[in-house]
Amino acid sequence: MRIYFGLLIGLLINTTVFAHSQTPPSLKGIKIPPTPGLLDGADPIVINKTAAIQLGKALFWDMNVGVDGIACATCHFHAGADGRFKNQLSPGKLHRGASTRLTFSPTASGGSGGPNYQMKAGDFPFYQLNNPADRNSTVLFDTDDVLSSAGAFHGKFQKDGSCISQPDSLFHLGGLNTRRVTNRQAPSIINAAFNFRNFWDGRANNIFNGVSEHGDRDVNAGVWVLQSNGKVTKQKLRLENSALASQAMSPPLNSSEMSCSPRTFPDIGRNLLPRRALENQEIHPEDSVFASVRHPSGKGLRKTYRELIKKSFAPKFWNGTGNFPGAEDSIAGPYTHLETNFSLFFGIALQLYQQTLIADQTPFDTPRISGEPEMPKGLNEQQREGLHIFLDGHCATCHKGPSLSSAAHPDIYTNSDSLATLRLVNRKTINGSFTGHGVAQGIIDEGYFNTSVTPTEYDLGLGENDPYGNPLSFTQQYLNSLLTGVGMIDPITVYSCELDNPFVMDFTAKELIDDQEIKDKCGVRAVYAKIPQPTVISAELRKGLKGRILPAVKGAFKVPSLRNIELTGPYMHNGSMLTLEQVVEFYFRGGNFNNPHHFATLVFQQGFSDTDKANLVAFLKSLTDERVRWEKAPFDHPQLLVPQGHKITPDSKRPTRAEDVLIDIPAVGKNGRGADLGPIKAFHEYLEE
Amino acid sequence: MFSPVNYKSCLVLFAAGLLSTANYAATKPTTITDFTKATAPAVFSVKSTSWRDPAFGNLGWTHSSQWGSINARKGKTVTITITSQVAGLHPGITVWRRDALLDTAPDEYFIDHFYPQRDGVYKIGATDEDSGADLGNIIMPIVAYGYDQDGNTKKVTNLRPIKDGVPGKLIVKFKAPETAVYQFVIGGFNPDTGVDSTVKHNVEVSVAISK
Repeated sequence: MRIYFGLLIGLLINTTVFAHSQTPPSLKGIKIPPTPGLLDGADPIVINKTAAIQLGKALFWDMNVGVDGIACATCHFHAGADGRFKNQLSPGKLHRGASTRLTFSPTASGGSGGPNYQMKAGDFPFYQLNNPADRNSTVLFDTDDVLSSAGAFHGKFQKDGSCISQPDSLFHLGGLNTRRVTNRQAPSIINAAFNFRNFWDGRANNIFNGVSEHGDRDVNAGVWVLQSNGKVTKQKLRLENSALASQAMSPPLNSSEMSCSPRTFPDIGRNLLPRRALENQEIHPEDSVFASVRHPSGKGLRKTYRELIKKSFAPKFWNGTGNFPGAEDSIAGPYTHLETNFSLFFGIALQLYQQTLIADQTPFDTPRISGEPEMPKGLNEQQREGLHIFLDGHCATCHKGPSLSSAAHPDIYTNSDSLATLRLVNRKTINGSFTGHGVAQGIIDEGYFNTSVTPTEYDLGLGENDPYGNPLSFTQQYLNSLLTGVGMIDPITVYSCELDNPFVMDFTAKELIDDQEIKDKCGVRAVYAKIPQPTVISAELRKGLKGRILPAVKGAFKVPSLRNIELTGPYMHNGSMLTLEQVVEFYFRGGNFNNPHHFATLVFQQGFSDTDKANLVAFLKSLTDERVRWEKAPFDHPQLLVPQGHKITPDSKRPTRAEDVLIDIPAVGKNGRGADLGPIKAFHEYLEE
Repeated sequence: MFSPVNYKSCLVLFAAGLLSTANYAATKPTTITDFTKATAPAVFSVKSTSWRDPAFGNLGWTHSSQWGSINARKGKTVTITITSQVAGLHPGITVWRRDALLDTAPDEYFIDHFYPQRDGVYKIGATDEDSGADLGNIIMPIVAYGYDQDGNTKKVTNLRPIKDGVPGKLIVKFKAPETAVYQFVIGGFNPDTGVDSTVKHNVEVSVAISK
């Protein structure tokens, strides 16, 4: 409170200008959320971090990890994302119950779409309007198809390690199988280390259980540990802040990505352990991670995966003997301890490698000029104007904190201890009134929002359940907890007193009860420590959109980081937008639709000028780290052969499949791409008109 | 001239969960123009439905409206005159007082991206919406409100329609109940057909404080 009555010394009006939001901080010096017990303590899991990072980088880039030559990097080789533009269409399989979910659409440019289609600039965006600035104008084109990533061929896994080709009714070219394509666009892995959860729908749990992406939800998960008595027993593993390790559990087993079913991690281990890492791929002599362990032939490392694992991890995770489950069908005999725990090694090694991929050297990360807003010195004039638009246009409300994503661990973007919890569930004003009384208060997972890229039913995203029937969202878990009194499945704490719009604002005293467990932990906010009675919650839920309990999680997706966004197109979870200009137009017209859970207080028609939009795009380009553009350390990498569509001829070795067209991504060392290669480019620059 | 409501009673009701008030992690209006020392008018830019938007529960938009402030001694009469520079835009205004004792948050913060036109607004333990930093309490009892009814096709009686015979012009007066900072927000309400709803329009604002 300021009260001041000075002498009248002038007649000028004093207008104090504030930034709508604060300029997000630089990423420099920001620590990755720690994982207790992984590298520290008396008995750490990883005993040699350097070796573990070598292992992780090898596993990420090795084409032997997946079937059919697919590496993790196949879908993440281009600024951490996928830069391919042929045979990348999926028919929208997540569009539940729709007749179009298994059919490909023609594209907006009049192309045939479907398998082996080569994208053209005119195919974007996937939702086209007569007036792109007005979402109420005539719709010219729409599709539930998704532009994502080509992976493995359809096949059935054999316990000898091979895949037998199976007829593919969806991904084929005439009678020849084509590579299958995933259901969502591959986001960049760079800076993903800061995310609390991963995947577009958040299903890669913050807790790594050593076996699957589901954290505590997978009650049978466990790793096998050699005890002091010489026996090996299965133990629960709970590694916090390990969403990258959880994420790594899914693609290697997914039959549209890197696998043929029903391959397991011990199977992958059995295949890889005797092999030299990256044995078929060239390593640059100045590779920032591999230079000291590069094989004299120039291909691969000197060490096998077995050696790398033993050097990286505590012996109690690989040095035991015994009968391990899951190998009954194996024609090569029982799995070893090391094979059985291969998922543990794989997940942790990939996490440690990806934690080195931090892009924090951008113009945005330069020292700041104080003011409203704080201005990074490295921005040019147009980018500075664009930062004002970024802040005034509500962009920074979701793209907040140094990673420019509210899907980051809240400790990254909340630089205070004003809250007792991480506030991963919140209650916010999201939309206009459905009831005629006030606005719609949605209960949301922080960092996951429905911005109406597609109608909600095309893909429920965070609104889906896990394989055990539990909701992916913390929000739905919280509501279930309020209804039943049983705790949440994920170890998340929600304080009703910390909700932005607490229940006391729109429920009567009679409808509320004390949130007993937290009442003494809310400090000055104790007046907000009240929750609706279960009967009230049930009644409000039955009202659907008109209820005061409105879980707004269907059609919500992770807020991606904006760092290097210039290079990581196509954009959105369905890869539907080609350029940053299209993205900016989308947001400033208020989205494509007005879905029921649309976050319309943030995404609405804003009336910015063409100049404003151009300035905003210029600002977004200030978020590029030149090391990423030139693939300098730590973003250098081994050689990689990437399938980019097919020839319309049978593969000579597997005649049921269409022959691959392979792009040879050359090995790059710590000094990055030379002038002969030039920098990597924005996705749209690779396309024909 | 309007009388202030008994805000302490509101606060008690609010704490008991009986008063419905919009809320949010605190946000900053983009500009706040201080008229305390000014005699010249200022030009505000507002959207045509920013003071009352039927698409959003008939609330006002914090950032599509524009904000002013004045320091006024108890008993002084404050007159705020608003003149639209665009035909067909009908301005509305709401004035709050930042409580000298209870409002401990910085004045540049408001409770929400939305505001009610005729209610006090309160947030105990407000936090910055970006950083989560503690701000203190935002305690802003209502002081005055009203909108331009001249030529306006809608009439909302409880929002104090004001007619002076000139469409687009609005004059609001109030007597300062306390020596305090007064903050006001100006936006548009129910524009005439043809007024662009996607861009901001200029209105001229002047403030006079009695001697």
